[in-house]
Amino acid sequence: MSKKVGYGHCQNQNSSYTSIVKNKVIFFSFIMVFYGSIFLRVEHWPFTDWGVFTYAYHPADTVVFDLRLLSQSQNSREKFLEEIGFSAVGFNSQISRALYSQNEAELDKILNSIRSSTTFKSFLRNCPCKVQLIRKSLDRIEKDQIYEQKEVIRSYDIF
Amino acid sequence: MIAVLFVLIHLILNQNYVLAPYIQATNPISIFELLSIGKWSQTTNWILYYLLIFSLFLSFLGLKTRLFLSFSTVLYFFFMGNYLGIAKSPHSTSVWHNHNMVFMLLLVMATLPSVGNIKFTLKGLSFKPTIRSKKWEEVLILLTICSAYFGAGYCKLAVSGLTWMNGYTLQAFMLKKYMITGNPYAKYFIVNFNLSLVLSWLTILLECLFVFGLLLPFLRWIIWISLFVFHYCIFLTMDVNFLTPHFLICSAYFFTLVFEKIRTFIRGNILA
Repeated sequence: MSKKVGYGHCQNQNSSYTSIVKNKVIFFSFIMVFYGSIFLRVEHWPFTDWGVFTYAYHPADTVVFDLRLLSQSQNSREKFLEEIGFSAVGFNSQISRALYSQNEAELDKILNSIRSSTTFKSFLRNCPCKVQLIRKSLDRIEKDQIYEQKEVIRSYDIF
Repeated sequence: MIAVLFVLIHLILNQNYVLAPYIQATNPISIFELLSIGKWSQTTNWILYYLLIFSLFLSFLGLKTRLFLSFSTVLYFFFMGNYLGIAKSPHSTSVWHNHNMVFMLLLVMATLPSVGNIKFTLKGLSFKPTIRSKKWEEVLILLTICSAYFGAGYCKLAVSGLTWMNGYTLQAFMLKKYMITGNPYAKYFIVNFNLSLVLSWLTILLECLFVFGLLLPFLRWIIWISLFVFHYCIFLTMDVNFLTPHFLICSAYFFTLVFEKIRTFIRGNILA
């Protein structure tokens, strides 16, 4: 009887030891995979890539693209892309890519898709005006005011 | 259980995962290419999505929790990988951390020994007293959550070094946002350079160092609130919502702690 008890006790010890080793293996395996992929920069998009806003920039080098509406009386309107259902951030990155890769066809395709959209047409309400693709950068910051430098890249008559 | 519920709610509320147009070019995913998986049809993605919802629901109820959690992890990997492949531009270098986090948390939870200690029955919640969660399991969950923040901070330092913290970088990010959308909060950072400088340092310190304070019970809630403020500031200034998809799912562990306290209080004071 005592032998049986002793054997059972030994079995319990073994299973407890196995369980502790198993737990340690689980714990350290995950830590090694999660933190190892960070340190080794294993950036297999999308599941182990943590790099976001990683590059260092300077405000002087910051450039964005936008559309400007210019009426006959020279009144202008900018930052309206969200109002007509287009992502301003998406538009900016698409235009940047097309311009930097000098892909004129891609640039026309992006602009035409906006100009031909029904939301844009209804936004204009048949007003004869021009639409311009502009490049904005920082001019100066003065007394809590931000002054932008604007350069026209493309200009289209709408009607 | 709470984490699974949050993932479930997140997936159900974001129907764009299956309703998004399927016309863009595929962003090649190296690990999928390794498995010779190309772009799947939208029908396949629909099937994966509903299987995932069903599997998560069963694991939330506590039915064969480990089995269905493992199944959900595999389904999430293929479904979300396929979705991200079609939803993002091939030239995009940005990442959405919540997908990484959900995948990692599901994977970790599926292997934890105490994962099946709770289930829904007709009489309510049923706890198995023989299976109790251990300290190392909680530490593993917390370190998994920390890895998201640490990874983001480490990548910034690895790519740009200390230049990232010179204040100009944050000012430039805010300027870009301001020039695109006219965000008034972003403008506040641009005109107050010192604020940008301080917040750049605080961002790196929070991501690389302070976040590990989650492991220390006396610091836990301070760090949790700091992370909430951090995400809320990103939401206000950059219009990027990390609060509901990422922070809420990461916070499931902390909500569990609160529920545990409430349960102990009710048992000790009211029921006694």
